Amino acid sequence: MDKQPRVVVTGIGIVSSIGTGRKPFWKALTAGTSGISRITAFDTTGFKCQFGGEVHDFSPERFIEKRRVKFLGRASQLAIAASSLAIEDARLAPKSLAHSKTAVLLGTTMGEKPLEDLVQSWVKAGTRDLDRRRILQASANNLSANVALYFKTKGQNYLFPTACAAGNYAIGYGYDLIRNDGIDYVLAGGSDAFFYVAYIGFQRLYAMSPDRCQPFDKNRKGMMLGEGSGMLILERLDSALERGADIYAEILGYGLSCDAFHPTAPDPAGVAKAMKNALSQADLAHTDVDFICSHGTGTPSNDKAEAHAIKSVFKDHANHIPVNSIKSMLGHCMGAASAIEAASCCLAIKDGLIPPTINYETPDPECDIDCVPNTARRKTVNVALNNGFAFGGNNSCLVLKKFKK
Amino acid sequence: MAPKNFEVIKQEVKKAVAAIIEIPESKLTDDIKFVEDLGIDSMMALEIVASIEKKYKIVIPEEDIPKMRCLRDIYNSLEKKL
Amino acid sequence: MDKKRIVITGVGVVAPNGIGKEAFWQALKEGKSGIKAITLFDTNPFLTKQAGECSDFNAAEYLGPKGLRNLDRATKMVLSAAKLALEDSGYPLTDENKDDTGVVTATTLSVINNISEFTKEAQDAGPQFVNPAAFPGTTINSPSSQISIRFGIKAFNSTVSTGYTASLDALKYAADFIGLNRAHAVLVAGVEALFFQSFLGFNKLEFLAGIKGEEISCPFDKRRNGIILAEGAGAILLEDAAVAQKRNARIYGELNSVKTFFDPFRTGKYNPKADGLKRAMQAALKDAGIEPSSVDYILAAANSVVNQDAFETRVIKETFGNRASRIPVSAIKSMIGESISAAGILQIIAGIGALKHQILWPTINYKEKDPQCDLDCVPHKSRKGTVNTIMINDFGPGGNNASALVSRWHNG
Repeated sequence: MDKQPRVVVTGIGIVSSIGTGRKPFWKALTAGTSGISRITAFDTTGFKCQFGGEVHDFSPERFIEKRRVKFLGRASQLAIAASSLAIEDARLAPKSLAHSKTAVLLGTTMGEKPLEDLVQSWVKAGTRDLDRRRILQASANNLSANVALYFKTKGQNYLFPTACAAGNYAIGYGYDLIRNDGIDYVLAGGSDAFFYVAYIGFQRLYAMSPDRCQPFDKNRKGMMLGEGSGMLILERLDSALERGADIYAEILGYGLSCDAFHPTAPDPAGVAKAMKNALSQADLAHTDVDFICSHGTGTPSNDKAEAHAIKSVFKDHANHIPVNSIKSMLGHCMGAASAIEAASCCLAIKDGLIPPTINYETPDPECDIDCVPNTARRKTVNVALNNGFAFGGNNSCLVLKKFKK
Repeated sequence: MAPKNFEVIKQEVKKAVAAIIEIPESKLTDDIKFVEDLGIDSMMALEIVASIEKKYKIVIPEEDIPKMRCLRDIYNSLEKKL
Repeated sequence: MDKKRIVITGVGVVAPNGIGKEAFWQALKEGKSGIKAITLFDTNPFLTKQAGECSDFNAAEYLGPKGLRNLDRATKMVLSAAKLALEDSGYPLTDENKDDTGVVTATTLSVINNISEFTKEAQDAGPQFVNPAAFPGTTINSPSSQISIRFGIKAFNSTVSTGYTASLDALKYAADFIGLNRAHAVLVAGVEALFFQSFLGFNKLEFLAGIKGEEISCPFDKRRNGIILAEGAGAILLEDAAVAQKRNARIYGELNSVKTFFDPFRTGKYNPKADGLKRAMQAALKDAGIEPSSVDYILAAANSVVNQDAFETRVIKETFGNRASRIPVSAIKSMIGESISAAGILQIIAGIGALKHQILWPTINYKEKDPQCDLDCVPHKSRKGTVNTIMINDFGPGGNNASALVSRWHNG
């Protein structure tokens, strides 16, 4: 009855504070490595938090022709690098994406770094010396356009600025386009660079921890800011099989919901709805889920709301579902977060290994879930959910499954 | 701190808070509770605190914010800091 | 799989030449321009002085006096347009159907104002004293979230930020979601506000009219030398046709298709071959099952940029062949300027008006012919016309191209 193609993940590319490339990233992630370090991207004087998940060792020239690097903002550089890695990981030649049946879908929170540089320049010195090249690169749409331009793709091109859930929005729509629009390949994910505005903003909301991220812990103090990019290659199952691609996981669908409640405070009912919608779209029962990669930012409000929502959706079965948060290691990579997390779900499925939630010391009765504390766990994962919840009620939940013919 | 009459400061604070909550100053009595009586949300509470901090160049510790339940609490806190 | 039919049942508009659908359509009919001297900020530093400013816009009129303090101009404009569209549609947003109703908003640049203000406050007052309530507005998804909060929209809430084509890209996204049964109705909105930083940016890039030539929005005219930047907000309610009919909704028209393609040429440059635009137009026709010969009106992307207008003309000719010279092609950006992410939704709403009133909107400021743009641009004055199927295009330098088809609603 359902003639729509099945959608699988065949390539993963990551640039993160704990590793660049799928293998180094996964090795570090499953070892519980923290990517949090002293912030060098800007002056942190006067603020409680001096730490974040910066990517210190990123060399754009490794992935991008040198003459093009200066025309690209950092978020674009990260995204192109992660895309290159994903394409290579999928064992595709880049030129096999250079046509109108390749869609490029990106998610972000803050957009392009040149914008921040420009604004700071304007604030300090007025309008005189504003760099024309930066102006051209400032608007957020450059992010998705730059990736499409670099790989010469000609299909749909979307930029979803749905903040902390953006990666899921991009990957989810990629799934839709393959099934319904005759698209062959999707390059989807998210990217965000370290932004001073975000650093100040989260602290002014008292949402940031001074030193480490402790999701679900009783004494958790808040999130940490991170940066990076996660990009996936999605393709039709028949195409993947035909070319003998390695399949990480199948995407079964995704659920979105909207709290319609508050610009920043989460609503457990809205969060639960996203997960329910996801299960319904994927035609699964709540008892089918083996693992949840949570949004788990480490703020008192998010983790409590999410734990409650998980309990309400999964009821008794919640006791059997490990619910980790890799933000404990990477910090919150904003628009890249749910994309990197989706990648970690694919790898958890492939390897039967769930990365830990590190920094977990004291259980919180309000977050009564198994958060895979501190050490990675071996478990066969058939179905994983990837949660991403953003300010303003942008809730998303992606469903990934172990591939079986 | 310049010896501004504290009554003047109280009037400034009342005006600023009334503007944030968007109610007439006459309705904003010293003891009326922000959350329970006026129904403000967490963001508005943060905004009120931020405007006081900015205006008087002080820092209100995070733990004290939930204690700012009405104008009188703000006055008391300010009086100690100024 | 039977494709769902999707219809438009409500419109709301805040445009430089008219606020509210009736005022907007009347202004278009009269060829009234919304382009004027800017009042929102000081233009002394600039050679150019004009923009499509919604100078009569008063948010409190539509949204009430309270709760607007921390909302930026773009958010207030789009909330107003959304309110007008919802009221116009008669769509009852109840507890029963809130989970079946979604919102997608197209916006790209307006956030830059908020980021600038936030950064300025951090500089002036010190970063430790920045107003926390100003932070949510620094992310582009904020206006859409505000729409969902104000009206109680719960199925989903997305934002699309692809610059010139964002409105049509958002329209496609919304239509896809209805087709996939994720919502019965989706509010599709688009907004860009006018503010100093974007005006400055476009000036520095020399993309505005008035730097190399006359400061005028004259699409297809030989004198054209750049855009007149504009602000605007529009919202339409897109509905599953079956659901709309069941509630006896007034149906403005059917959305037949929307197609979007990227053209990888060079950042900020037009591909002289305009392959992406051609692909979008042809795919829109094919997807809708509409023959080129059935299109009787085009609402062009033409925005007074030399290459944009010329390339669109050529692609129209390539797509419609000999018939091209008989299809009226209106450039309403001659009256409302170029509002980037809001343009598409304003063009769609203009299209709805054309269907309703069987009228062809004018391209104003048309004086000097350009052989590269020699189609019937409905010069100077609106005129009566048979309008059944309209093509709406948007594109810009930098690669995004989109085309949509909207037609009269026929049951069965």
